[in-house]
Amino acid sequence: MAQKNKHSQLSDGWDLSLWQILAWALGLLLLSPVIVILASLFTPLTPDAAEAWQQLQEYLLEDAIKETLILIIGSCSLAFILGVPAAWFVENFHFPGRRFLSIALVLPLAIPPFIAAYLSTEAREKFIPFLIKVRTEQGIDTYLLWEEGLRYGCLILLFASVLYPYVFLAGRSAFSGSGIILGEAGRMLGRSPWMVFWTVQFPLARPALVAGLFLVAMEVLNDYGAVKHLGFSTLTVTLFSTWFGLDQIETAKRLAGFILVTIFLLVALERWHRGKARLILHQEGRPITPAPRGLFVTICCYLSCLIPISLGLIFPTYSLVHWLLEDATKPTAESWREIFQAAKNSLILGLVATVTCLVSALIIMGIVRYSRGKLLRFLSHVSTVAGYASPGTVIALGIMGVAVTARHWFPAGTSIGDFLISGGMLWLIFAIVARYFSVAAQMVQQGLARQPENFDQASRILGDSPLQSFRKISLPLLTPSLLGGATLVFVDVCKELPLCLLLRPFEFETLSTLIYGKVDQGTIYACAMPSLFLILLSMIGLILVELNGWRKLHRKSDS
Amino acid sequence: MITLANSLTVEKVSLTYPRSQFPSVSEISFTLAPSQILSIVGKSGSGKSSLLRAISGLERPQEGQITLGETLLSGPEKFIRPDQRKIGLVSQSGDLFPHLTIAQNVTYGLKKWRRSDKKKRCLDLLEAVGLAGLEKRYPHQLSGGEAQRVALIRALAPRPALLLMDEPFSNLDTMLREHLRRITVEVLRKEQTTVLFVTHHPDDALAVGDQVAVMHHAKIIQYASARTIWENPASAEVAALFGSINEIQNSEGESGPPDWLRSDQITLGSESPECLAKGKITAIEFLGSFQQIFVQPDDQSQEIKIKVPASQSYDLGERVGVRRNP
Repeated sequence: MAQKNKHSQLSDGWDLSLWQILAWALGLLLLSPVIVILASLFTPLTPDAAEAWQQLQEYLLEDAIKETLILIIGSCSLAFILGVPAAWFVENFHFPGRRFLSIALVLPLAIPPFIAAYLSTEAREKFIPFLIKVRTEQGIDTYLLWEEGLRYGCLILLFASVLYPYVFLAGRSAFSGSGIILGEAGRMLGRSPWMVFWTVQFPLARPALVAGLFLVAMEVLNDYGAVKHLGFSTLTVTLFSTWFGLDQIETAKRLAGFILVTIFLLVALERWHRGKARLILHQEGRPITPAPRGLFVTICCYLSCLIPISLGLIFPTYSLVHWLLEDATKPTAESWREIFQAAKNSLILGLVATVTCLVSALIIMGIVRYSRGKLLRFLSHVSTVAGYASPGTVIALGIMGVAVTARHWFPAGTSIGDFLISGGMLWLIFAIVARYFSVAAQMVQQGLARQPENFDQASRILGDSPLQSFRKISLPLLTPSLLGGATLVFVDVCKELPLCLLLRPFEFETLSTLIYGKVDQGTIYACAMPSLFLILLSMIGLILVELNGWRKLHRKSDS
Repeated sequence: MITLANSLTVEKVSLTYPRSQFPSVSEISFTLAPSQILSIVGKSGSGKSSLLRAISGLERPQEGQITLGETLLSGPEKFIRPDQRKIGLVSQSGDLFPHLTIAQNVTYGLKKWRRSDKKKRCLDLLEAVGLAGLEKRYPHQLSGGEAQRVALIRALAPRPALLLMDEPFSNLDTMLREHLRRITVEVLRKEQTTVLFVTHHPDDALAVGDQVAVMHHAKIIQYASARTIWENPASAEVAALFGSINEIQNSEGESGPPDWLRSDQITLGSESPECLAKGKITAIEFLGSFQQIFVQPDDQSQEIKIKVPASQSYDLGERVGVRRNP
């Protein structure tokens, strides 16, 4: 209650209305793709589209849902097994190399699943003799069973190896601080470390871990490159093929609408589950982490870190370097030019999208803090959730819908209409900002939440307007959060494939579309060099954030 | 299931944290009889909490032995894990498990107890600290004082052979602290627990402890009964922990009284040869039941603080003599 009063005091005597309108406009704009998709659920389909929808339901949907679910459940389980022990050991014990391993454990995030899938080609080929043997000795049915099982197994392992860092990061922040203090309290009540983990530390970390797993699930659902390469037809692939294969955009939008509703229900369920357990954890001074006692614990410490790192970092990097060294066709001047152009495009796209995301986040979150608007707070909340809960393909469909509406309002010939039609890049940036706004927004929000309102009040009492106090007090204090948010958005944009594939202007290649294109054309080895560029670019970003201290930033898991 | 209270013997225990140059606990030795309460008092950073962590087993001391009753807990060859030591710990923040109810918190340490026994123990203890009826609540629904009482009985519930309390009242205000101190001592006496009670608050240390140990720079510099500590502090450092002291030039040579006195051990009067010091009044603070007078001695030594009755009247700049209370 007291907080609300402070808000009202802050906004007293200063007209926020212009800023509020700007915040509302931005929030609604960012939400518009999602709104368009949800609205399509209530618009009747044309006979043509209705027939396609019918076919989709009859022939494709069941398999698509089944495959997506198996992949999501498998990847989440394996990511949990890889991420949680590593986080627990890293936080609970002090062993030599801990800090280095802790950073290395995050780096697989720099490797997009589709590149990991390409890089695993040779490893997967090792199974072929075995499959041939099964086929000749045990017949086609057993062969098909094995083949499918191996395909699922491989892809799940691939996803888990590069996506477990989401769970690891969530666990690391949940097990630190009060997790350790309460763990000690449990030990002092005579319970073994194992028992304390299951009765205290794990239940307390569960909301954060669920949020981490949710991010893994979203990445699996979002993926297009890896699933297609391994011959799966998940919901995302079905969306692609409905849109381009059947050329039925309305049908694709309807499917996207159902996917969105399902995800939003899951998000709501997770929020509700988290809300029930109202955990007030006071962050205390961090106790000294003990060195592991005994050989067994020491071995566990290192194994829990080294297994995920080998799977997600060492193995892909090794394959990549191997390809670069073995590849007989050395890159020509032409291909170098191609790579540099794509790297430049990725860089520019990344920077523009990052700056736009941060500025929007600052405006919306800043106004939410200074104004009393409950509705605006809700809008900012929804647009934050909507972004990260929407797969790229769905956002792309929504953007197409928005573009169609915009063209309807501003027909070709008017100056705005011509600008919108020619501005292909504009739509791509819009889509990327709509999808990754949430990353920036959460960083800004957490940064602002850590600043006591007293700071603003002190500055206001000393005679500053809200804008001045934001610029002089809040903004400088926000710098670490802003830098963290910027890096994360940038890394995400570099890795982004489906949105770029769907919305890029003609002949505009980013590193990820270039890599995808090379593999699509069958020249798989040629993707090594651009992949190296892409992974290095992302890794540098992640290392910077790590050295800055994740603990302060708590990624999306704390939304 | 009843564990009888045990004596605690600490012999030459030293603990140095990794990446720290100086020991946090340096060659500390003492013995505590069963069912006795020992207050450990000292400034922050004097090593009180580190000593508790060493005894609890959360840290392993590099040197020395710790024995509880007949059991060697920690020595050069042996180290018993904290969860197997039958030692309870109450910390400054209480550290209640936020996802468990009060009853679940209190019974958390009752391994292999029958359900009905658990329930009875929990209700008895809640009753003893005046919290009956709160067993279904969650920690965030309690006030600071209530949470601290739950933390106390949670640690006492398994009948530990030794209870360690690390500044358990320091997050509470003065009124609440006194109230809680009484409840705590009552419960501890009833349970006949051997207790190590760490505090930086002199009142708590004197009121709670049968014995008081004063820690300074990782060592115990005095170990005695509360009365002895107050009446015969071993040094100015010990005396200073229990209220501000005045350093006064010792005019009577080696055999005279100590060269420091508490502000209630001296009084003001007219200047005369037998005065401990002469000087000018520099400040007067009226504090209701008494007033504090600050005197700057002529020899430019440290300012002297004197408590005088509120009824006496003095003026700023007045010349006075400081003398010992009759």
